[in-house]
Amino acid sequence: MFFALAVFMLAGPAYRQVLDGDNRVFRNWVMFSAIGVGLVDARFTHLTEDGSEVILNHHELLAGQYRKVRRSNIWLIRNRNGGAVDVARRLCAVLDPITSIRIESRVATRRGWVTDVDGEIVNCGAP
Amino acid sequence: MSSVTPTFNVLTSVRRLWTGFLAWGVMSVGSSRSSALIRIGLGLIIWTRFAYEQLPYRYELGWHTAFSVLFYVFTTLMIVGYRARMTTFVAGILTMSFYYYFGLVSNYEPYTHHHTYILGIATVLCALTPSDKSYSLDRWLAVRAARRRGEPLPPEAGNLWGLRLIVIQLTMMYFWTAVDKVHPGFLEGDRLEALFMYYYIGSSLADWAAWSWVFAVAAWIVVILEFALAFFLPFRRTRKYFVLPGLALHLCFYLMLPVFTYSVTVILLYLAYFDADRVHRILDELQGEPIERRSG
Repeated sequence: MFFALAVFMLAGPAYRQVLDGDNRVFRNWVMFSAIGVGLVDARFTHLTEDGSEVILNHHELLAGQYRKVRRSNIWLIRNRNGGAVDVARRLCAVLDPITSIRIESRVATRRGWVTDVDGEIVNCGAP
Repeated sequence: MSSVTPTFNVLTSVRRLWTGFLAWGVMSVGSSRSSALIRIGLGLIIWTRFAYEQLPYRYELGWHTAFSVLFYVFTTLMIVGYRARMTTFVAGILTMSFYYYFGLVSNYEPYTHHHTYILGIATVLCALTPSDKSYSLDRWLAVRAARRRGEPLPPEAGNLWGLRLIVIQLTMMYFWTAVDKVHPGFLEGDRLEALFMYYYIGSSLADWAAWSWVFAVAAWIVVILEFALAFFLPFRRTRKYFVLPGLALHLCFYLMLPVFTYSVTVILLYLAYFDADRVHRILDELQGEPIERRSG
C-alpha cells in the first residue's frame, strides 16, 4: 500500500507533465499557469494633428465602458474580445475624430509575453 | 589498493539508501500527536472550504442530500476522533470526490483546483496515520477502559507511514510545481508580471523600467525556493533552514493570490516533516504539569 501510493504520487505528475498524459486521475502540479493567459498589456499613443504624441490612459478615458473586474478600479483587456484594436476604436469615440491612435500591445501566454499589435495605427476618422 | 570495485560501491550505497528509505517509510514508530493535530486541522479546513456549499437544504431531496448528510456526519466524527481512522478515511474519500466527481466529471471548475486536491489526498493519507491514538474520543474511551481494568494507559504511538506519505506528497508538489516554472516565460518574470497585472493593476503596466527586473528576481526566488523545499525540507539537518522560508512563501501566496485553503493546508501538513516524538515532547512542555498535581 505504501509503495502503491508513493508511486502514484511520484509518477502521476511525471506522466502528466513530462509525458504529456491527459488522464486526469493523475494530478499535475501547475498552479496559476492559466491565470492571466490572454491578458493584453497595451499602450495607446494619441497622434495629434500638430505631430505631437501623447500616451493615453485608457483606464481613465474609458472608465464606465469596461466591465469592472473587481472592487478596485482595474480594467482588463482580453485578446478574445477584439483586444487592443477594439479598445483603440473606443478611445477614438472619446477623442478628436481627425486624429489617430498608435497601438503597441503584447498578450500573455503560458510561456510568457507574445507581441500582439506592433505599432498599428487606427485612424479615428475612418469608418 | 582497494579490491572493491566501483560497481560494488554503487550497489552498496543504493542498498543502504533503500534500507534507510524503508526504515524511514514503513518501519518508523512514534508519537501519534502530530497525526492527531493534522486530523483535527484538516477536518476544520474541510469545513471552512466546503461546509457552506454542502448544507443539505441547498439541494433538492435526493442523492446530493444524502451526500451532504454523510459529509457532515463523517467530517464531524473525524474531528472529534470517533473511530478516527475509518471516519477520516471516509471523510477523505468524500473530499476527494469533490475533486474527481464534482470537479473533473461534473466540470465544476472551482473544485478542480489544487487546494481541493491537496485537502482530499492529505485527508486520505491522514487516515493511514495513528491519529486515533491522541486527542480523540477513541483515546478518551481507551484511557477510561484501561483505568477501569487497572491496566496501564494505552501508548500514544503508532506506525508513521501515513505521515511519511504526506511528506512524499508535499515533496512531489514542490518539485513538480517548480519544474513547471522552469522556462524562459516564467524565469524572465513574464508570468508573474501577467499575474500582477491580472490581479492588481489591469491592462497596462506602469512605465517603470525596473518592473521587469523585479518580476524576474521574484520568479527566480520562487523557483529556487520551491526546489529547495522539495529537496531539503524532508531532511532533519537541512529542514531548520527552510521551514521559515517555506512558511513565508505560503503566507505570501495566501495574502497575494486567491489560493483559498491551500496555504493553511500545507502549513498544517508541515507537522508531518517534524520528528513525531519531538512534537510530543514540545506539547508536553507546552501543556505543563497535570491538573491533579497542581491541585494537590
